[in-house]
Amino acid sequence: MSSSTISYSDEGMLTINGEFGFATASDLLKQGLTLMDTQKELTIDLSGITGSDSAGLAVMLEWMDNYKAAGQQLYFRNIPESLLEIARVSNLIDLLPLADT
Amino acid sequence: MDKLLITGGTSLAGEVRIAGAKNAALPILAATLLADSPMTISNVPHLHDITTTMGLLGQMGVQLVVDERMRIEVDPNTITNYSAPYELVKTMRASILVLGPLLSRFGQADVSLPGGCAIGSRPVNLHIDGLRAMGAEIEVESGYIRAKAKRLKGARLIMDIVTVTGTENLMMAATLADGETIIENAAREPEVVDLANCLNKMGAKVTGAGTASIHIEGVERLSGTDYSVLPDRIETGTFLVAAAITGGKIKIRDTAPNLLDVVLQKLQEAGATIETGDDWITLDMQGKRPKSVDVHTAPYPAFPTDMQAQFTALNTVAEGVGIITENVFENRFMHVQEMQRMGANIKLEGNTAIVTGIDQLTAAPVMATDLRASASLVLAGLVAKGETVVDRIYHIDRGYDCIEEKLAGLGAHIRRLPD
Repeated sequence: MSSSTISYSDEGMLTINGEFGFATASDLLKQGLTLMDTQKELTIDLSGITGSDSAGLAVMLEWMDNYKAAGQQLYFRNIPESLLEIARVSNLIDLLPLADT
Repeated sequence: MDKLLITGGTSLAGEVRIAGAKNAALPILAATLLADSPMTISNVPHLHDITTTMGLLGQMGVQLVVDERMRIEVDPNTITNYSAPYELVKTMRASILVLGPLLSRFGQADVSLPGGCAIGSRPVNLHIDGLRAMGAEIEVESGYIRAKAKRLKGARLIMDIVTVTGTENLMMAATLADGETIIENAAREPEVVDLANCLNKMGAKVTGAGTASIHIEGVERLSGTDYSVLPDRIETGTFLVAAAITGGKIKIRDTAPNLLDVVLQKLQEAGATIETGDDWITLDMQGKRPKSVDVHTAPYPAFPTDMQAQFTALNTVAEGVGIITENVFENRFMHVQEMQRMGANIKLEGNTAIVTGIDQLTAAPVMATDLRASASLVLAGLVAKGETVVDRIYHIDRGYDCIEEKLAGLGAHIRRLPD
């Protein structure tokens, strides 16, 4: 059972806490999509994640796809270096919309 | 296309960590298809061909997860199709490595004929002939190898020419075959041995890897395991030459000196002082100009063809005349013309390059034509007077993990110019 969460920490700001990887990806994807649907512009803060893998990156891309399809703007901030490295290796680094921190 | 801008004239100094060998990681990733449970591969280099292979496995339905330490967990049990399409295979000839595992484990494979580096003929018929000898039904149509087999049968396979990927493909296929397979005139490269070690850790019975005769006793099943890829000997050699050509002093970490005997010997002939430990090498040129060395490429354990271009670069600024003889691949002197544009004195006669060292190369815009040629042009740029721009470096990105970052970490003035 996933103990990771995604919730609003501020207006227009979602924060993920806990593991953001294969074991939690499915739950966090659904939770995130539910929370995002009313926001026109949204930033997701990843400073609270305790570990990640490429499944977490896949969730980020899925959120981006959904948001883009709805004509809304999504940003990420405080992406851990290890997750950025996975994005680099996957040739996806340039696709990630990064928020100014 | 990205370019590299190099300002020559700095002696390299410092430490550099070597990545895992691409030529070992690619077959090992293909070998995961043979397992009946998930397995984890570590020390995988951050290279485009690795990403392409992950894409290849992923489109088959294989589940891949990359963790924070860049280990790749592969679960082949989720596979849904047994095809390697042209769109992926055309960019990487090593894609054919999935042919043997797919056929052996799942009884079928549709693999597009490969593309990749344009450096001589690299026939795939040896893969096909070997699998046919093991009982596979194979047709080549519409650019695809279409293979079927109930269960492959052990056979004695005599390779007409020594081929690394051919040996690897057939060795993987034989692990799940019925009975014993013997591969004669097998490739002896360390990457073949690394694959055999990985297969044995999965439960295979492979003996003789590293010799010209590999014996494989087929087993019913292979299991997933954790495996760390061996260090890249060519990346190691390239950084050693980079230090030697610049008169520098460096320490290479996380490498395997025992895989580089001939290269180290040649560097000592060139005037380098070399010390080695279990997993490190130091090279010190004490600021001296290198001496020319003669090089004759041949399959392992002789001098590797993948180090030929780098030693050609070394000889361009060395004291004396060096003779480079390429015995492995045709058309592998494409870097010579570019080096001549930088002022190098090189005379080509068939498969031989006669290199008369000059005091200094002159920077010029140059264009990479294959992976190792690209590396050699970067090395030439490190000692050329002025700013060298190496174009078409997508070749270099296929084989070197963060080369400009690592060279910059050793003091080189090098940066990437994005397209």
